[in-house]
Amino acid sequence: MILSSTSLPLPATVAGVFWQACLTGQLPYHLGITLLRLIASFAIAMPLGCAIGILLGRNKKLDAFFDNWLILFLNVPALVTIILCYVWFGLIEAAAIFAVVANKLPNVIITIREGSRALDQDLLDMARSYHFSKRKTLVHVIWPQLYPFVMAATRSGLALIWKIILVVELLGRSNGMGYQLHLFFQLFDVASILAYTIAFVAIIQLLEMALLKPLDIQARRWRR
Amino acid sequence: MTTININIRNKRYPQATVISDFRLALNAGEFVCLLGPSGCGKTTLLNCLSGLDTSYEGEVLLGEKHTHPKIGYIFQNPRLLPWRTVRENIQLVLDQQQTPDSLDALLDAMHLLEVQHQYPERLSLGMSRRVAIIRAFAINPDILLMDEPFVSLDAPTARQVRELLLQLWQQRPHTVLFVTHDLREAIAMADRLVFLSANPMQVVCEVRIPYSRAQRQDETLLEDFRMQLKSKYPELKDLL
Repeated sequence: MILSSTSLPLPATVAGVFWQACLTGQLPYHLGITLLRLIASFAIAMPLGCAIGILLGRNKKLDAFFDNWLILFLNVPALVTIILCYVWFGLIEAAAIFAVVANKLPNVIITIREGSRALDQDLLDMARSYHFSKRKTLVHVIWPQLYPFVMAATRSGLALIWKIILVVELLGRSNGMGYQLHLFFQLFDVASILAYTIAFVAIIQLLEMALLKPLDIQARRWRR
Repeated sequence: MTTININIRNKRYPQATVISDFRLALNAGEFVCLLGPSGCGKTTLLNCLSGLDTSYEGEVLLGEKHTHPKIGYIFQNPRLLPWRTVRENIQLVLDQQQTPDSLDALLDAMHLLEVQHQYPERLSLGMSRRVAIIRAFAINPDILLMDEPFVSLDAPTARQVRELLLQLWQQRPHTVLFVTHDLREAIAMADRLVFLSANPMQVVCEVRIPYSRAQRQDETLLEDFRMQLKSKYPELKDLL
């Protein structure tokens, strides 16, 4: 009985729902919207977080000043930032993106800060004694050392953004995965919830295999 | 060619004074070896000369005032960028895309032509050191600073690299300050030896080597000279 109940549908049922949702265009539409939000917030949070992280990692005074603030923002519950953003800026797209960025940024900063604290001083001295330009030092000396940290921030960041973005959509948007899942929750439509989750996991796997893994291999080619 | 005038009154680290009242002048094109106990501050001195360390009292004058001589610095460890190939490591210290034809010749002379597209982690330490030496020579330096570049090389390799280095130096003379604690090595290469004391580092004495480089092929001659030094300067017995 329980095996085919609505609260625990059979895989075949879920596959059928998934296929239907794809055909009607519902699932691609909402998944696309969420993906766009993900790209936008990721594209803002990563470069900004890297820049601030490097700055804090290389400048002790700045670091001492912002350290407590960073811990504070790192530990503010995501829900609080989201609600505040909606209250202050209204139920608009920019508020949604800003809420995601505000949640993601401290994580990036902390990871990159650790990376730039661990930079090899011997190599920096070498670059300085051979009069490397700022750009040359950044591209050839600093960036390759930060790369593993950037990759770590990317992976953990993507996972975090996925989770937060759904809450943001659930609370204040009328489209996207979060909105849809909320709808299915009200209808107790577990099959749809599972179907959307599968689509979701598939996208993450695709990103990992098509983008992150090849980047990793490319960056590690010099290692023994 | 470039002269070097060092007058460091005081250089201290938080715990101790490393260098005090240190005076040394090098003629243009001179090859000077600094010999001293390990930890006496030789590396610190080279860092002051290269401009990496500016927190000292006193002056370091390289060449005429307001000129910026090119300095090739060969560090104690090779300090190659592990994520760039041998050739890229050398090209990076050059301006823009200009690659001198002499780079291939240098690589060939150092027996590195076959490995030029490899990454440094796949090289032996001896090879990495040779790459670091080429990197310093590639910029056509006016001044060459060397910080025990042959340490932890086996004797034949060290000898080979030493000879190559002398060859390069003779082809295009520049002022050399070479730090070592191997007296044999110093006698084989330098025009002048400068012995240093520790805590704080000061010049104990200076010795000019009276032989031409051709004469120095004779090992016994060098060994005799070393013995002479030993009897003449008993106070240096730790170094000799």
